[in-house]
Amino acid sequence: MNGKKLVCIILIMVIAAVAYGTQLMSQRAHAMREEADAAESEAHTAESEAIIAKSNLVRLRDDTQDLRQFLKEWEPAVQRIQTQQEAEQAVLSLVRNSGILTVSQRFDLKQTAYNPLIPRVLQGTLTVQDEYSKTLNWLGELERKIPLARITTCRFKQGETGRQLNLELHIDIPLVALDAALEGDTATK
Amino acid sequence: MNTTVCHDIKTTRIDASKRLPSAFSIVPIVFYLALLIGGYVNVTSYLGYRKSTQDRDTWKQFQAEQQQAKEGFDAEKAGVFKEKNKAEKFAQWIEGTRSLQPISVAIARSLPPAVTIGEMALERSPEIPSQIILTMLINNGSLEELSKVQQGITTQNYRAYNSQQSKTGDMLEFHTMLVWNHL
Repeated sequence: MNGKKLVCIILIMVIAAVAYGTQLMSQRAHAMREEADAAESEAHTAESEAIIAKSNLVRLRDDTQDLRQFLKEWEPAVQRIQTQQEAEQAVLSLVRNSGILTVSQRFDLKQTAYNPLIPRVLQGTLTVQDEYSKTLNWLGELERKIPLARITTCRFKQGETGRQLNLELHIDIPLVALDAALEGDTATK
Repeated sequence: MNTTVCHDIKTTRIDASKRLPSAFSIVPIVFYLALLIGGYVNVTSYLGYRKSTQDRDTWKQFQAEQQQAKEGFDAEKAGVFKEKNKAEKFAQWIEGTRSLQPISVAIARSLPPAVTIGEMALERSPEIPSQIILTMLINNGSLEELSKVQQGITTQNYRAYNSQQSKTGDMLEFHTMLVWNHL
């Protein structure tokens, strides 16, 4: 092999190397373009999902606005009665302040299973006896001052005198746990 | 006379190489063309590569931002959902706390002075606490008085349902279920 042939072969090798390098660079550029396109596509998908999530949130907010507002308005009343003592005190102070004659009273704290938001209920049984209008006014005051209380039984009988009214009350005062975890809290879909 | 042969065109020159085939003359041309085209393609590819890299990074960042925003919306939605659940449970309780005193007063006022209530009980239904079972014993009462009692109940936005009455002597016993009329 002479020098001319050798130079030719070297040149051909350089040409091949340039062609190979160019192809390699072109392939890398193409692959990166595809990667960028895929990233763009994924970004648009993520954007759509974010828009859907936002619209779902807005819809849920609007749909539940009244209900949530309702809970918010009741929160002060709920916060006032959080313990057995507070619940008993609320009833007893009403009895004391009104000066109504209490025949009997009993309070028991019960655990509930049906509503996790209300894990405990103070069950009270009160029998009061006084003048007709005073007794009914007291009942109205009790229901107004302790709006959370549920009077399960209200039995009126004639009192010892004709003007008197005997009232037997069974009252449930809930101790609401606003921070309780409820079933279905995670079911957000 | 110089005897050295300077140009001997008859004798084969063993020290000189053969000419390359004429096709080889395009090799330098192809070489320069390859350099030019390769250079151009490489530069454009490199610029494209750089732009694609930047685009990819931009889109990745945008995607991350959108995913973060979505997670934020989902978390907020979970909070709203939780609040809604609580409000529903709470409303179930409150539904059964409507005042009984106005009903008692309305019933008492609906009866004329000659007619008296011997005993009256208002009990919440254990299954549906918003419904109230009314039982009352009326002295000297008649169906006319019962009608007035039912009118009194209606003024409190309750409806008497499944009413039953029985009379024993002067005593009229009345039993009914009071159902709240939703506004």
